[in-house]
Amino acid sequence: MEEFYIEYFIENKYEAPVRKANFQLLVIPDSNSQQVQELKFYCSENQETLISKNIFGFEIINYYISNPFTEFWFKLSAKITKPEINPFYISPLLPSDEYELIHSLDFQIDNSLFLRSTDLTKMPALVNYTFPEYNGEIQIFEYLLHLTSFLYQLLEYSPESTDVNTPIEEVLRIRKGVCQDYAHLFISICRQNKIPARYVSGYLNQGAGFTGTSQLHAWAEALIPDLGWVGFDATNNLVSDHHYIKIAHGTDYRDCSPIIGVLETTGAQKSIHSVIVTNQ
Amino acid sequence: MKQAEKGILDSYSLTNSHYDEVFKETKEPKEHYQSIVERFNQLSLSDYERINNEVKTAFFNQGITFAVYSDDKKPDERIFPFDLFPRIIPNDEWMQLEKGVIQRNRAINLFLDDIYHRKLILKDKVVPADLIFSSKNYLKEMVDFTPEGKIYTHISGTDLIKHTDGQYYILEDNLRCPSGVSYVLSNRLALKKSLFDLFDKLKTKTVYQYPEQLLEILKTVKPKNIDVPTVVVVTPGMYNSAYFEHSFLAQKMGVPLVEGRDLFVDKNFVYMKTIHGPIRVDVIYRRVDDEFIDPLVFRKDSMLGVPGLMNAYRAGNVTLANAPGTGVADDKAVYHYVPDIIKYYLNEEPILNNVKTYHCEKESEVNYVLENIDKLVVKPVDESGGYGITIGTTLTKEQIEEVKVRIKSNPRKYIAQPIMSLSVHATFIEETKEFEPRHIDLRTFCLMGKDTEYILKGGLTRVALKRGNLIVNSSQGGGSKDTWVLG
Amino acid sequence: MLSRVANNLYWMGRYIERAEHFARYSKQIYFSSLDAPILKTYDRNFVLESMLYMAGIFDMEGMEEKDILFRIGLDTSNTNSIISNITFARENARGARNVISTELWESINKYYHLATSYPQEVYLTTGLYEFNQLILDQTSIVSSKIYGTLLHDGEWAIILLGMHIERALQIIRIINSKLHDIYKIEQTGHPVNEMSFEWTTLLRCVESFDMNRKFYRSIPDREQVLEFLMLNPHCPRSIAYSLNGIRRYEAKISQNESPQSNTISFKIGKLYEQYRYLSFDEYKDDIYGLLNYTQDRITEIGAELEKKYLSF
Repeated sequence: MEEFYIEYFIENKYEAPVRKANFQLLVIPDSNSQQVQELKFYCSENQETLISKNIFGFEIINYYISNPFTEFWFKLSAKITKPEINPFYISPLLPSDEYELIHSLDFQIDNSLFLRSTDLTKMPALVNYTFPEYNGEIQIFEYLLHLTSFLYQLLEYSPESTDVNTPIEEVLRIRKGVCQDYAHLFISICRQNKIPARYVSGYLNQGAGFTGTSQLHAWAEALIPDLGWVGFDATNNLVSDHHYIKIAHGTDYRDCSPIIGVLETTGAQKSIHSVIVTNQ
Repeated sequence: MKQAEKGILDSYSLTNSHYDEVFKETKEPKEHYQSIVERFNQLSLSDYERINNEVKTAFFNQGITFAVYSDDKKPDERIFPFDLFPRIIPNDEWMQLEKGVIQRNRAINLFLDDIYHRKLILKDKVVPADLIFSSKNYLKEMVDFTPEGKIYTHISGTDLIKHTDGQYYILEDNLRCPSGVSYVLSNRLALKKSLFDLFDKLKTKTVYQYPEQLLEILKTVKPKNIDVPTVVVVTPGMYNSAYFEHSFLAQKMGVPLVEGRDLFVDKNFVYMKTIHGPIRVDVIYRRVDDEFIDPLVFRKDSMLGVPGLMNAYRAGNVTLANAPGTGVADDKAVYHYVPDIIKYYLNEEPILNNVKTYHCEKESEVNYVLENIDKLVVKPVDESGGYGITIGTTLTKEQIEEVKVRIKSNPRKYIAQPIMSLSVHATFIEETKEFEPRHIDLRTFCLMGKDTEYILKGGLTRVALKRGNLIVNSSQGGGSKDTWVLG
Repeated sequence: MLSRVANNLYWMGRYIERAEHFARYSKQIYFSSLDAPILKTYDRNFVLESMLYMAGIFDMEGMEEKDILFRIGLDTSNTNSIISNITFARENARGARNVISTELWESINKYYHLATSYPQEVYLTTGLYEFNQLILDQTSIVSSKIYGTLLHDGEWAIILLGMHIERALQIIRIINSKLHDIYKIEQTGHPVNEMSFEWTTLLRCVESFDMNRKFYRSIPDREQVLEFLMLNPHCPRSIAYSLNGIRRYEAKISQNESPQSNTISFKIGKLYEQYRYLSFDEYKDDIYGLLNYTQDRITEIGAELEKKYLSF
């Protein structure tokens, strides 16, 4: 078993007082993917909180603040344990059986949410690249490994080159991006090839030399018949293992934003985030 | 009142090409219109104009108006044109229509429950799965969530027309926030005041139970563990074109009319801000569109919504009527499948006719559409209020080419139908001071609650006031008539 | 009651009352000046200045009489004009449409349409009197609908609370404005004891001339008029009467029988009692001081009411 300590911190400062605010935080490690042993969180407003489930069943922390404030911070710490994973998968199915299965109507209907295009995973009509195509000649897992390294080579990791609303079209134009761009592109290509894929947000162990650990990380999961959902991280050209501490999944980034707020205020805001993940 | 020498309906001239609701081909009134025509013919033109003006003034003073904004001037307030000559539907004809509308809405409600849960109708290939999943109105927030009482479409406004063959056809299903019922009640009141003796001649079904029925229906879908629910109507605010209706319904139901800013969500419960503190809200009849109801989930820039509302809804702490995501079923591309949907869930033959519909996304049909645009009505699948509709016979060559380009660039967005010949009804035209035939349709109002249904006996007869115009929507310059279902 | 709706009702009451005071003041000042015995009052600029002062406009540079009359009456770009006040009253009524009676709503809506459709050219030529009288008549109709067609509950009380706060403030303004006029006339050396015409005008500006006559049975003078308009508890256009109204309607909303010292009810009660036991002699040399003190207290109370009940 591996043990990880996680600290998540966010601080928002507002130019003008905020009269009222609703915040939803999606930062609690998912207890299906690992064991969450010590979980603590606080916020600046000393609010009572409610943990509710989002539409995919992940826990969100809700704050409703009705007293004026100019600063909001939130802090979470957790200890989690996870068995070591050797991410080497072999499907018992033949490539042609896999191909047939994912093209069956029932399979597509049952996984429709992760096959539908979204704003952030929409592939532009004209693309200058030929992406690897899934044709049923090799196993899906193998295809996805190939796709992962293809994207790893296609894009240059470049912090702050994009933001959370950057469409794929722009990412392909500048050939730069951060983890969510790799994930969106991966998902988009999977869906085009009728492989259900979803966006995953989480923490990544900082001690192991990965890219994208200073903030929350993002990767993708694809559904492989008879294997289930398997995580692929094109940013690091890896299949996700026990170093990947999942928070939530969804159809794209917007289902997994760590913090969403609706505020009544007039001015701008400044945010600081920090993530610390240590491995004992 | 003195007998007019010449009846005001005498100068009415028939059109040959359309079904006339009032007159036979011999220009004699149909049986159910006889006494009304007699009564109207007793009025002199000046009597009629006087009554007409009184009604207009009354509507104006009641604030049954919409505002037309222009630069730097004060908004110009106008009433929705109302025609005093009522549309009459004989009882047997209505009973058939009522059964058909209820059948249709029952099936649609089952359809919504299915496509948000087991999706059997898609797996059985009765409705193409792609059609549903490619619709932006199919909301992931509703997948596997069951609204109280399994009711999605608490309020629906089915639009019908009568074709040249004398048959009713469904024009569209309005399953989001159908409006117009306040005009039905206001029109009736106006007619009762101005032509009270008409009501002695024909017995008509009352329309006044609608608000109480609506309240009862809303109470049947209250959240669990609530004895007496607090019901509210949510409006986008008084600058919304249907604000009159929102305040009218709230007032007649005796419930608060609230705006998004009056509500807040704390720990998954919804409260309204009152002068003596927060009061919990249990059932919301919302007249705000899906994408605006919760800025945490849908449009972030929405000022009309309530942050956290969807969470409270999904936790079962508040009921929304209609349920979010019903728009996927009144998509004009789904319309075509409703007869199959009725057969699939109810194992019944559809009572009401559908208009033949061509899907531009189907290769087998799009070619027919592109070659016959001049004979078809082309509609975008996801617009309401008559926007974006083109009618083939009215288009120039250039316009036809433009429509072709639009269809080719996004075939999923368009359907086409043969130009249906809406029936005509004698309508007073102010410019000519004469009754002339004008096209009409009928919006019905159907309510569905837990184990209960109600349909308003009557509806809103909308009339296209411009000669030859086929679009009756108020946003396109249409008026309305009182609609009588005979008892 | 929703806080937003309470806010609508409160401001509806205030705007209805405000429009009426503006219209009455304009009408009285303008028409009484036409045959005034005091030369200064004949001066058209003097009259127009007084009307502008009331409407909160202090600079009449470059304005013709017609411009001024238009600005006070029909100018929609002036938020203080009579027409703007009526528009605001009606917008607030619309926001509370479902809690007020159909009769009240229709009377306000009709009032709005009558006023906004009044032709500008008529107003500026022969219609000045008629327009202002229309405002007064329509206000009476609206008032009677408020009293006669609403349940006398919290919603009703909040409309009347708004009306009485506005009335108290407008009476203070009118007295101030007229005192200002009289001061200017006195500066010209006009004998103080020949000022009864001006005091009568002040009474007429708040429709209290006949009441005052009946009560004192003598020609109005400074002391008598000010005492009447400030302290008389039975004159419905006095400050004391308005304060009583504020006290009564606030109590209906707060339902607070024995208010604590930091509550709004307590502050209202204190001001009301001060007025009840005030004798005019104590303050006759510092009328401005008393008026300002009262105005400040009422403004303060209004702000606290908004914070406590009307914010959303």
